[in-house]
Amino acid sequence: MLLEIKEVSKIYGNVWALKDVTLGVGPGEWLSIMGPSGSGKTTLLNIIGCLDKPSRGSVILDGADLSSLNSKQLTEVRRDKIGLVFQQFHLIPHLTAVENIMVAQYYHSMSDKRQALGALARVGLADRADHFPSQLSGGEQQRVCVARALINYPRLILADEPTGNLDEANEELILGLFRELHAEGHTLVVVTHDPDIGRLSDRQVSLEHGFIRCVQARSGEV
Amino acid sequence: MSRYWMLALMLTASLTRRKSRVAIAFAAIVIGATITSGLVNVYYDIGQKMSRELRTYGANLVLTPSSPEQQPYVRLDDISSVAARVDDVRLVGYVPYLFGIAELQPAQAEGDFSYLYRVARGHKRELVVVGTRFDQIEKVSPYWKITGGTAATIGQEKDSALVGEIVATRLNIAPGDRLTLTAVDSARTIEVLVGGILTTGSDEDTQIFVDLDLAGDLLGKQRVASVAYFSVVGGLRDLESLANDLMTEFPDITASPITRISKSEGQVLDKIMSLVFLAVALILLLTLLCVAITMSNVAIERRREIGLKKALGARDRAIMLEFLAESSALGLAGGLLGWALGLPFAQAVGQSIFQSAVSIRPEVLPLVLFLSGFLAALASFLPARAAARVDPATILKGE
Ligand SMILES: Nc1ncnc2c1ncn2[C@@H]1O[C@H](COP(=O)(O)OP(=O)(O)OP(=O)(O)O)[C@@H](O)[C@H]1O
Ligand SMILES: [Mg+2]
Repeated sequence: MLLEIKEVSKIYGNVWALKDVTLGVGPGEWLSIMGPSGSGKTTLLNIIGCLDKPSRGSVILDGADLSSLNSKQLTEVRRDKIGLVFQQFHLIPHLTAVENIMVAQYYHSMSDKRQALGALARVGLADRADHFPSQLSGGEQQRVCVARALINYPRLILADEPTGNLDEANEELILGLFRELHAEGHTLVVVTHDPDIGRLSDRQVSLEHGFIRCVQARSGEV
Repeated sequence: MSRYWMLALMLTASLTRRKSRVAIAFAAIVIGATITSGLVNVYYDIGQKMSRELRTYGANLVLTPSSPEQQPYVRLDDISSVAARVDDVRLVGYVPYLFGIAELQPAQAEGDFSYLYRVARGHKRELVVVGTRFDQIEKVSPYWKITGGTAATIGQEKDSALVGEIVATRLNIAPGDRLTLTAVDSARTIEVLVGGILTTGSDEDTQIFVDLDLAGDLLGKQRVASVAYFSVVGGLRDLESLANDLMTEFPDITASPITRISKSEGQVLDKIMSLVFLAVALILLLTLLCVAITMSNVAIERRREIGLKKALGARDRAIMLEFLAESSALGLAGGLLGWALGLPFAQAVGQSIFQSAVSIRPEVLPLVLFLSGFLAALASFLPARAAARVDPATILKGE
C-alpha cells in the first residue's frame, strides 16, 4: 500500500468531520472520494495531503507514519510526495503560467524553466507559458494547476473537485489528463461529486457524515 | 538556475506587477528617508555653520603672557605662530591688543576725563590707548558699531584712530579731528587722525584705538602685545584641548577659552543637535509604525497566496524570507529615492536657516540606505511571522 489510513477521526469541537475511517490506496490506483456536501471529503484529503492532522488514528504514507511528524516534517512530506490540484485553481495572479509552475519547483528544490515549459507542453499549454492566469480560461488555469502538481514527480496526486468550476468541455480535457496520468501509473485520489468521474476511477469511496458508507470497485460489486 | 534567482523573480513580480498596499509603506519610507537624508546632511554641516554664525559674538580664546611679572607682553611672533597652528578652517580671526596710557594735548580736547581712565593715577588728561590691527576687527568683533567709517577703511591709513563713544562725547571729538597723544612714562608723541567713533557698550567706549605699530612707537614696545583675542570655530571642549596644546607648544603664553561665550555656544549647538536627533528619531519611529501597520495588512491581504505557497511545500522560513526580502527591497528603494529627495530639502533648510548652501556628505547615502532597509525589515518582522503562520489547510476548503 502506498497509503494506509487506519481508524482516522477528525473532530472539530463537537463536529465529527471524520469517524473511524479506514482506507488503503495502492500504487498506481485511482481512488474517487464521493459524498454529499459536509460529509468530510475535503477533511480527509487535507489529512492525506499533510495539510491537517487527524484527531485520532494513523496515516501511513509511503512507509512514513504521518501522525508522528511535526508540522515542519509534514511540510517536507507534502513537498516531496504530494501534488495538489484545487477546485479554485489557486494560481498566483501576478505570475505567468510558467512562473507559477516554477514556484512549486522553487519550494521543492530548484527552479528549472525548461522543465516547467515541458510540463506546460504536457498539458497542451506550451504556447500560453507567458500568459497570466487572468488571461487564461478556467480550464486552462486548471491545466496549469495539474502541470504544477506534477512538476516535482509526486508519489500521490490529490485533487479536490478539480472539475467543480469547469464547463463540460473543459471537464473532458481535465478528465482526459487524469486518465493519461492514471495510464502512466500515477496514483490519484480525487474528490468529486460527479458520478461520471467516479466511474472512471478504480474505486469509489462514499462518505456520509464522516463515515465510509460504501466502497465500490469499477466492476460494480459492493 | 539558482534559488535566489527565482526569489528575485518572485520579488520583482510582486513589487512591479501588482497593485498592493506596499505602495503605502513605500511612500512612508520615502518620506522618512527624505527627511532623514535632509536633516542628517544639515546636521553634519550644522556644527561648523552654527559655530561660525555664533562667532559674531566675539572672541572665544584669549592669549596672555604666562608669567606677567617677568614678561608682561606676548610676542607678536608667538601670536602669529599660534594663528598658523590653529588651522585655516577653524580660525575665524585674531586680534592683538597693546594697552598703554597716553595724555591728550590740552589744546585739542576739552571735557570731563573722569572715569575715562579707570586705572587713574590722578592725572586729569590721561586715556587708555590700545594698539590693534584694524583689518582683523571685523572678523573678531563683528558686533562693533563704528560711525564715520569702517574698521577696514580706518585701517588703510597708518595714522588713523578709532575713538570710543564716551571719549568722543565727553571730549567733543569727531571724525576728521587730529589728536596728539603723549606717552605718560616717556615723552614720545604720536599724531593721529580720528577715522571713526566706536560703540560697543563696554570698556572699548572709553578707549582710543590706533594701529599696533603706531602704539608700539608711542609706548616704546615693539612687536609685542598685551593680549591677543582669537575667534575659533568649536565648542568649549575643543577650545580647552586646543588651549592645552598651545600652552605646551608655546611656554611663554597662557591660552584660556572665554568660557562664558564657548559654553553658551556649545549649549546652543547641543540643543540644535539634539533637536535634529529627536526629529529624525520621531520621523523614523512614525515610518516604522506606518510600515508595520501596512505590512500587517499586506500579510492579511496575501493569506491565500501564502497558504498556497505553503501547500506547495514552502517552509515557514521561506515565507518569512520572502516577506522580509520584499520589505527590505522596498526599504532600500525608498531609501535611495528619499536620499535623493533629501538633497534639495537639505539645501532649502540650509538656505532658510544659514543663508548658505549645505555641503552634501556622501556618507549620508549608506546611512540612509541602512536605516531605511533595516527599518523596513524590522517593521515587517512581526507581519512576516504572522504571514508564515497562515494555515494552508484552509486553502483547500476554498476559504
Ligand atoms: N475548521 C473547521 N472547524 C469546524 N468545523 C469544520 C472545519 N472544517 C470542516 N468542518 C466541518 O467538518 C465537516 C466536513 O467538512 P468538509 O470540508 O470535509 O466537507 P466536504 O465533504 O469537503 O464538503 P463539500 O462537498 O461542501 O466541500 C463539515 O460539517 C464542516 O462544517
Ligand atoms: Mg470540500
